[in-house]
Amino acid sequence: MLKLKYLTVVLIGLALLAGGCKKGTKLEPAVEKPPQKTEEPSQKEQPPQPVQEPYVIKREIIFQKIHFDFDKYNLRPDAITALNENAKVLMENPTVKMRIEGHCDERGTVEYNLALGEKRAQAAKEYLLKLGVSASRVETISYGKEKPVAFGTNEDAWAKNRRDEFAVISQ
Amino acid sequence: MKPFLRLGLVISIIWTANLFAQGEIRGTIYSRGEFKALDISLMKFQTKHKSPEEESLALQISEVMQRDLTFSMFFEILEENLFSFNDPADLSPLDQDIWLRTEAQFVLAGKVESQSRSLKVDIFLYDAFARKKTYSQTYRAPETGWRRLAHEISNDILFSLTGEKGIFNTKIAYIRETTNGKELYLCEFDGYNSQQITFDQTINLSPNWSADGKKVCYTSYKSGNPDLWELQLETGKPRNIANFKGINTAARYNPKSNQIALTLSLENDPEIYLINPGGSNPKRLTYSNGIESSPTWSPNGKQIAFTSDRTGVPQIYVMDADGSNVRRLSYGLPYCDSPAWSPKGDKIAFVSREPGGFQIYTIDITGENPQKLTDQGNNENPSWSPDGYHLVFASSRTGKFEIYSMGWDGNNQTRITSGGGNFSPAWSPRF
Repeated sequence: MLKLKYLTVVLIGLALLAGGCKKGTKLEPAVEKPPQKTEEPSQKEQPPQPVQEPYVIKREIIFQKIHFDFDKYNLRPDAITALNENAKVLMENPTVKMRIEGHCDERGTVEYNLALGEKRAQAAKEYLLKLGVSASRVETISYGKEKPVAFGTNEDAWAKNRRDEFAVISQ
Repeated sequence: MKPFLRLGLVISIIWTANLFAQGEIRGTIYSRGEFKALDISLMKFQTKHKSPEEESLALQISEVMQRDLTFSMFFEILEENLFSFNDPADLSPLDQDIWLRTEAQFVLAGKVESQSRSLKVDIFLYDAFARKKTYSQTYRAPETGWRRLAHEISNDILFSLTGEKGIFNTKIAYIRETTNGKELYLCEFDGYNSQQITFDQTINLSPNWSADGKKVCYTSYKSGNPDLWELQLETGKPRNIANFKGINTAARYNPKSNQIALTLSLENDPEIYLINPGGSNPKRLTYSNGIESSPTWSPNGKQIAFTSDRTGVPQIYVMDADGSNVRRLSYGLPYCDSPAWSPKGDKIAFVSREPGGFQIYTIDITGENPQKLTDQGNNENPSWSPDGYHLVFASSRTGKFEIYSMGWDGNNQTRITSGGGNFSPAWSPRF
């Protein structure tokens, strides 16, 4: 009878341990594993054995912001470069969905800037679609001039606010 | 949420046996041209019981009336401190102290009585040349409604002397920044009694009034997307009108029908659409690349002015309500936006971007006669009073955005809010 009880406790303990180790978002493994690629001619005929890691390493998805000229929604060369990078990230992470948020500087009316922010978000989306990103993965929203990131009545602040931001909405 | 309109407020008007000479005495009526203001002198109002409470009310009512009549631009108030021992109902033609001393064309006398939280106010308007009463009226209201009563009396005086329907009981809807968003507020046309009317803890924008003054529509992010909502003022209940993909903004009710013009981007480009009050059946009116926004209706509901950047820079255009006959209105000004069609039908107010900031202009609907009304700070979002003689707008001239009122010619620019973060005003219709 006692043996059974001890066995149960041990089993439960093991189960907890195993459960605790199942998920982890640590970026570095606790122990350095040797690289998979080893040049040994004698192993040419054998396929490499996959090694099961006890946790998954997640890479943070980071998209680059893009910026616009005053009252414009066309994509500048620096914006194209950034969008190319963002597209690459999307391609490499096929389950990721993004939301493009269009923003404006404080000049101009509330209503006009809502429309301008919408055009800026649409412009980025159009370009990404041209690169082959599926439309179902990209949402857009305009915030007009309602959510500035920089404050000040100067070109520095204005330039920072004329932007698209790219948010990850699911992975 | 408490209903906004205080349902218990009733002003009963008891006509005294008096005729007033309608049409007999008028100042030079205020058209858009030159006018001569009517000189009017307000006598100190008498009170029935001479109690401190009555005296205080009498003073407050008279002060509100004085501000109203000055605001209207039809009157010049002369501070003459006229006094009589006689009953204001019976100022004698022999009352030399008044008739000889005054330089006014009209003398206003009044008497205030307060009993059990109830007000009775008698008003008497005298023609100073003829030394005769031309208008008299008795008003009753709950004491708590003294301010609205004062405004109503001002409306009546204005109508009696000029035939114009006053706007002294109208309101301004506007947006105010709060700690966690931007919410809808209301205040009286002179800025008094401001109150918050949305509590969404999100970003709310662009309020606009229905023609009957019972509803205000606005854009809200409360569902996560800029959608169009409508607030019933009597119940305080909001309902979602439109939630098309993209932006649902800059909505304006047709003054004559129940359609709503607004900016949608559901086909990707921000364009002007019409929807019915249920929010369905979007009818596209504009078909131009780029941005079309900020529709404003002509008072007969047959035309729409709007902003378009089809030439590369925003300018003001006008079209028929079905989208045909598009013509450009603004020429010679660098960047124009935010059109507002005067309820008189003759002018459109708008903003133009200048090196110092946005400034407010008016222009005739023919495109002639552009007039610059402001010259300091950043000025946005002009909105006309229902009589077309005044405008409200937002200005950052003090460093913070506040709402200002001014005459149609730019006179008397007066701040009516405080605390900063106040913008997007919309002037109500008469209720």
